[in-house]
Amino acid sequence: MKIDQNNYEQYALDYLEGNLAGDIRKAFEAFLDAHPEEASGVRSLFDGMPRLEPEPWVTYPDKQALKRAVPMYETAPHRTLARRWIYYACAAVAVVAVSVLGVGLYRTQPVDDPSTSSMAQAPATVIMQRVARRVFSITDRQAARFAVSRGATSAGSDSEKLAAARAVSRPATIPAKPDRENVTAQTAVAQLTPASMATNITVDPTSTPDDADPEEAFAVTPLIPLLTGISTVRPSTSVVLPEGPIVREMITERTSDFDSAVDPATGLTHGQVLLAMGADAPAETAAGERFRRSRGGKFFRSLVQPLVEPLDVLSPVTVYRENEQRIIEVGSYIVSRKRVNN
Amino acid sequence: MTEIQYNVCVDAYADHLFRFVLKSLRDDDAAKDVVQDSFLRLWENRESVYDGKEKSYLFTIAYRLIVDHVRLRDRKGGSDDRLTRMESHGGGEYDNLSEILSEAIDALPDLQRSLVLLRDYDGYSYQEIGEITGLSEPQVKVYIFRARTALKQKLGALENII
Repeated sequence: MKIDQNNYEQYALDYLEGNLAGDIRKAFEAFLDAHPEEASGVRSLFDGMPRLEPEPWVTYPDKQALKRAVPMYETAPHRTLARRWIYYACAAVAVVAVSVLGVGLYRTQPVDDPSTSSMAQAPATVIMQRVARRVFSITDRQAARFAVSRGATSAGSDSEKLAAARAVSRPATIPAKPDRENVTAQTAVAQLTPASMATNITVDPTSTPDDADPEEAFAVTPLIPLLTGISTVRPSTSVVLPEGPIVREMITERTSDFDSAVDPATGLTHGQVLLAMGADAPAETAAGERFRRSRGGKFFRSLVQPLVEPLDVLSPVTVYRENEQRIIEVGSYIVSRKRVNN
Repeated sequence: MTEIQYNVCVDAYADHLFRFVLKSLRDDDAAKDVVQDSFLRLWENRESVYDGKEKSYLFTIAYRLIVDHVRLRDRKGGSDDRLTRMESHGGGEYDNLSEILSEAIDALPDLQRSLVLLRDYDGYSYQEIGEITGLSEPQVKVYIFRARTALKQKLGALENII
């Protein structure tokens, strides 16, 4: 390190403060010996460097004006506790919201619950026949509106589901009462992949109730569950229906995803519609039953049910198919009364 | 940084900062403005200021504001010398010495004065002063050495009176 007139100042303070050591100190002292003019300036500070003393009496006049207002929860004696309560309240709200939403979705699913009604244990074919009979034997529309909503949305074990699905894959002919003619209502035909799983319910038009309008048909509206049994299987949207313009139109309108499908008549999602339909039917699960009987459930139904009733909903019907030895719900359908204007 | 932590900083550093700025600018009103702006920026950038670095941040901001203020003042035609000395509270025996020292400090170039103040008032190391002012450590040492030499020459045997 060469010390000269251009850089000696940067070493001067360290030299005076005793922070130069070794070769650098020797080089600096050699520079001072060789340059007496610069040395006099450095050595004049040997006997005392002027240092400024702090002036504690000089203070900022208005420190309070610099400060910021402290939120109340920060100043509270038990602010930690207050924060916890805020967290608890937020968590409680979140849990309630998730519970309400979860129950709403859950009621749209088939469940393996032995506590469900005996009808839920029957093969799907029988269930759907019963549903159809109920549909066509209606004498009191209001009574029939929710009477069969327990139908095929519930099922037993996988093996029972499998048997039911195989049975469903065969066309089911609904017995009819021969007092009506010229009315054709074909409902609930879901041509799902594979084709062998197509479900046909052929409804004899003569079984319509006596007070039914001859031009009244039955529409089948697919409800595609958000969480279909095993949710990785997406329901087929290529639903093929037999003749029937109203039915076809309804299907076309409502084959969008379950969660985003909003009923144009009510503004409700399909899950909400199903939940309201289940109001008069036994709950599929104990949790659903508790919710149904709870104040929240009653309040929910009081809001939703008046909106659903004008749909003249008769029953939800669920179709299953086999996939890797398991039964998967592939679609739920609302059978509703729909007037045909032709 | 919460409001409480910020207010602790105000209590801890406002006086230090004010002394430094006041000595640097020699303008009471300007010094108050600089202190106020420095704390305002601390609050605005509280998320990016590391814990324990609040004081350095405040002095860095204040130093930049001082430089801006001095440049603006110089462009306007030099200092108006509105030096407002604070009232002395219990420091009467230092009155004369303080005046002598103040004159000597006032005679220093602005940069040298600020560096000496940071070193002597707040005990910053040369490296820390370099970080605050944006100078290299050797530059800081050179400026402070020149300031001390100038003060020594002006005050004579200053060691005898301080």
